[in-house]
Amino acid sequence: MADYFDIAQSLLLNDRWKLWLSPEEGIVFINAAKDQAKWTEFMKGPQVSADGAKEEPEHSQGGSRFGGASVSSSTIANFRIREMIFEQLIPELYPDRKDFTTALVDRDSINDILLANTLKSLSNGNGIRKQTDVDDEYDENSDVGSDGDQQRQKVPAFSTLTEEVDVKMDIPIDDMYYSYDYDVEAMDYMTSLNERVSREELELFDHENDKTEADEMTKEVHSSLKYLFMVVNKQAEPERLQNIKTLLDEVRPSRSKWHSENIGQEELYAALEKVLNDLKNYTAHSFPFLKPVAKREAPDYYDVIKHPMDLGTMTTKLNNHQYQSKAQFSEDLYLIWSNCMLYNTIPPDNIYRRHATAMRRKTTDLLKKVPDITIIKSRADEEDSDDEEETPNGVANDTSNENGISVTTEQDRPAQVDEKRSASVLSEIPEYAGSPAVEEHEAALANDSAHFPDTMTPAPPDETTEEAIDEGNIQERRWKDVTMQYRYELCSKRRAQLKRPFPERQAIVPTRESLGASVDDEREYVRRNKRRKLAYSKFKDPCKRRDSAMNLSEDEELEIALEESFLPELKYTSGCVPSLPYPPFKIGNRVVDPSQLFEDPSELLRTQPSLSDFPEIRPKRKGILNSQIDRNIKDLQKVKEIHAKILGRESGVTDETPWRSLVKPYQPCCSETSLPPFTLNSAAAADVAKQSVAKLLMHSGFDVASESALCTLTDTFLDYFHNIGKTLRLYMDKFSKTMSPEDLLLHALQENGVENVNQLDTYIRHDIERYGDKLYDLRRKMSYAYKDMVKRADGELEEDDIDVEEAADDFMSGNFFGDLDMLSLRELGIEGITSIPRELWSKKADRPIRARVRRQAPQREEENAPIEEAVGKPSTIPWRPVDIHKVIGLLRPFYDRKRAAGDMIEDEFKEQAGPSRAKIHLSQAKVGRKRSAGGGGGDEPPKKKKKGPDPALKAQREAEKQRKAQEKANRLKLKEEQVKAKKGKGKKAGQIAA
Amino acid sequence: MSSKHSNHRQPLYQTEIQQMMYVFGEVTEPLEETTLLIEEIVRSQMIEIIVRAVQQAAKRNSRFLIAEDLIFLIRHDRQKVNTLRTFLTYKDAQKSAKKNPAPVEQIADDEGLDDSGGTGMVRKKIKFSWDIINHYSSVLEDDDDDIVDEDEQQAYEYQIARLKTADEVTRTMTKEEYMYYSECRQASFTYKKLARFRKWCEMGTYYENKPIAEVIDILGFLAYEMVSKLTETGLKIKKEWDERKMDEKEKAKRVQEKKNVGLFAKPTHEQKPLHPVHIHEAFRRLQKMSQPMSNFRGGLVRTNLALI
Repeated sequence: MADYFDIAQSLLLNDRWKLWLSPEEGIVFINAAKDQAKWTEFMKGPQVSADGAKEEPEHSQGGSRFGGASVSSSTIANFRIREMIFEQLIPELYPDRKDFTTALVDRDSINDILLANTLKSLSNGNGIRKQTDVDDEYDENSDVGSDGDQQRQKVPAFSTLTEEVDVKMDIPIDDMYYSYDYDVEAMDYMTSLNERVSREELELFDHENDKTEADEMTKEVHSSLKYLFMVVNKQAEPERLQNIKTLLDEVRPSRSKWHSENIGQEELYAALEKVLNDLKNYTAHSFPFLKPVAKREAPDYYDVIKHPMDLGTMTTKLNNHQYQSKAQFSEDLYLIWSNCMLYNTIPPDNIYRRHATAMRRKTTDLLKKVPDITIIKSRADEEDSDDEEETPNGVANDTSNENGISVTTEQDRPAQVDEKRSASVLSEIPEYAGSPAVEEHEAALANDSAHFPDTMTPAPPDETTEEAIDEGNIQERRWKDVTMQYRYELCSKRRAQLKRPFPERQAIVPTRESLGASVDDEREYVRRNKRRKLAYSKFKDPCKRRDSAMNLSEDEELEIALEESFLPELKYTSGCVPSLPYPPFKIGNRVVDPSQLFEDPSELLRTQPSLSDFPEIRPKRKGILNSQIDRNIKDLQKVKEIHAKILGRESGVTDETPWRSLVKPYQPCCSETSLPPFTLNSAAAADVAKQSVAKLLMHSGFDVASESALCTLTDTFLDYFHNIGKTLRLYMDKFSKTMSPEDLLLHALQENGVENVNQLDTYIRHDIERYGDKLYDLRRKMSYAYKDMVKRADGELEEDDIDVEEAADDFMSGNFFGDLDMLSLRELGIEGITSIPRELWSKKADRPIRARVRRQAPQREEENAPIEEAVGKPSTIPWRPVDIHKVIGLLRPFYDRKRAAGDMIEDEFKEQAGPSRAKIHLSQAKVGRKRSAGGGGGDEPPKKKKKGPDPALKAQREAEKQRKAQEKANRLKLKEEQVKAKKGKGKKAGQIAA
Repeated sequence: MSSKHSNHRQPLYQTEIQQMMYVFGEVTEPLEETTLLIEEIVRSQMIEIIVRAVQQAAKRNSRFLIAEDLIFLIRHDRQKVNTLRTFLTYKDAQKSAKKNPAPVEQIADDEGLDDSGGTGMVRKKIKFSWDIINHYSSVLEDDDDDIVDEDEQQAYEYQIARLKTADEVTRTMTKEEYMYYSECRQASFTYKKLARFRKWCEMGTYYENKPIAEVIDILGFLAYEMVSKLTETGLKIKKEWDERKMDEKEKAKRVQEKKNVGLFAKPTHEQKPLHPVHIHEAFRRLQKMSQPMSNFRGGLVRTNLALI
């Protein structure tokens, strides 16, 4: 029968079986694969039904038969080997997918085998069968001998090979799936591990203390008083230490029952007794092992078990001081468990087996704490160290450490235990390999097992669970190993989170970066996996491998690729996005890499021309309203800035960084010549409208608006104007013959919510002009208050201001010239007083300086304002003197009259100084018009220059009238513009918005 | 609002409304149906205001109404807001004066100093939270600008205009008539009638706490303004309709009457009282709310009750 012996052989040769099998299973495999007869027997083995030719049905059948949780480890080994063989055949099942699996055996040979099998099934003749045998022989790799004897020699050679190439590293764990089931094990393991580590740390700490501080002195003191001595040691003077030590020895409390002259005995026996007691107290599992097995219970027990042992017997032995070392003791212990395993083989999930497994695990744990001491008879020591300074009773001396008590490092121990365990596993093998063949190889196995600790995984604890459950194949195990720490952390984190009430839990927020990184890693993972699989199929043949070893650099890279494992579930807890094919994404004509979309789009769009670059969009001439709005926005921003500064100062945070400058103004990137031709389609118009909407939002006090909000508002805006336009169109079509255009417009407006044209007027006057005035005023006040604040903080208490104010007061109260009697008070008979007391002048003298200063602010600002404005605004067109000969005849009489009245003379050239400009401002301000001080400043001064020597009030009234007329005109113009704009739909959206 | 409704409700403010209407240009004895209708309208408006104001207060997370809640509802009516602002300013000044009566000299001095204000009291400007500027100017404590605000100016102008019309109306009055008129001018919904007012607009149902004086005052003012608006609009409508109805003959007759004014001529064109239909039309006009966004869209448009 073709039983895939070739595959097994080649696997054995290139060591790849280690990727599938654990060491224990490996032993079984090596045993079986040594020669064909054994292999056939193995494949047919007692557990497997006769039709072992087809792997798949067998596999499933085996699964159903041994589907329970407890399957004996030998069965597991059997299945693992079958699984391994089966996987070698996968490439043949899916011939198109070359990178699908990790076939480690030469494909051609498999091909041949399959061919042979089919042939065989076609014709069951003997001749063909013979031919297959020949085939088999022929197909075997050149360096694999088909002979069993040759094979025998290979095995030891192989074991040396293992040490050179650590195949373990090659086990791919990337395609393991993360399952929460594993986390339970991980948690249990890690908690126990952590406990152990902390305990060990503690011990280590003690140990170091021993070494560093008390040295030999401490060791001489009995263990029960060690810590007391250590404390004493720290404080006492060195010369007195010896005395103290002696004293401690004398007063040492009741000597324990283990006390003897023998070195180390006391310590060892105390520890051993503790282990024994602990085991006995592990009542859940210990009860079958407390007494020797009675013959009544198991009549054939003593036929099977040659060396019976139990905990009771061990206690007796301990009391009789029969153990000389820890090794003897642990031998006995493990004997109990292996006896149990040996006797209770038949049902694999036997209750006694479970007890034994549990007890064995407990034993392993407990024995780790027992110092590895071999008892040395004290008499010999005494002879050796006669001349040494000794404690009077000579219980222990400094040499004891060198000779007697050998303290092994912690790391060695688990390995030793494992070795023992693997041995105990071996003892169970007869179950299926009850045939004498296996027993023959016991010796060889012993040899091999000596090497296993090198390559063995530090056995995870789940191996020693109460049942011999399926721990998964070696890949799974390695995965568990590698990810143990991660999973533990994740799981404990998760647990901690789960304990909290839901709202307090930390949100798992997938950030843009993590998502992007996960996509990248995913891609990298796929690439690497492909490489690895190719590499495996490439190197299936050792010869080829040697050849390609020349290509070193690639190999190294591969090594690196193999070493790192990508475990997406562990790395990205916030969710893994599988990489999906993107449709090509275009911006303009450029195809953009989708990954770029996560980045700052400004970079991407920079090369695209902006709508603002087109000169057609920019208004050629800003309307009065538009510029007023701009001014208001600027003022508002300034106010906000100062407000923030003042608040910052008051709260003590002196963050001087201007927060507004974070947004850079737009810099046109394209020169005007390189722009594509301008077309105002609906999208572009909407964008322009959006700009206007944004401006109005800023005007009403917003700093930022979310894109969606802005778009919604823009759409509303567009819809509204669309409505107006439609209504107007309707009226035009129907009533243009009977109604005047103004009426039509009014009707259309009323239909759309503007009940009265005055509403527009109110809006402009109130919400733009007066708002601007207020803002300007506020800005001045606040900036002054802020300056004041800064000055005060800097310590230079504004002497000037006070001086000025005092001087002003002095001037008013007649004290200006010191003792000079300006008001001639002396003449009036008032002696000693040259001036009116200032308190009488100013009741507000007791007011805070700040308030006074602020009251003065407007006047002072007045002086600065023109300069400021000169900087901020484009200079106004100068008012040209009127040449009387150039004006049209209709106006000539008017100008003549004006001239006669002296109205035409410039202010500067007037003989008598009329009321100063400041006065006009003040009087205007009193009536509630602060225009000249505020926004109107730009346009009005030239007009005012034309004012004649009339009283200030009259001039001002005239100015008012003129201004109103102009405003009306403006508004009218604006309305016209609106109408125009409506027709042009959004062309001049900015102005309409106003 | 309908007459059916008013049937089973006790009218409480007939006299006051009649007096108010007289002040606003109605005849001395208006029709009872008209006054009933006006009372019902004003009442429903009051209830609406209270309900909305309570909602507003709830948005502030408060169960107590303050003046701002009410003013916010009528914030679009600049005239009323200005008047109320002035009112509140004085009220505030009054309160502070009561609380810490300044020494007499101090007041005198103040008067001497800021002659521009002419009020003799340091007034604190009332600021509304929805005015964005106020947010920033709050850093400037003791922000006392002596300049009279334009708002106040407007309120003042409005007041002056009202006084002027009153003056013109009373010019031709006899002494008795004037006495009666000035008595009518004092008519109020709330002044010394708090219990009646609360019962009238069922305040207890909508607002569980005892309203503060300011709120009551504002409500009274708003009710008064409503009567004024309804009456004035009604009169305007009546005039419009009358003019349209007048045929040529009557017009000629009117002209004729105007011509021969003699000592014994008939009294010229006696004013007729407003009919409920006028008030209905006035209410309709005041209620009309345009829905610009639903133009060309069709469908039933549901609107809130507009506050007059």
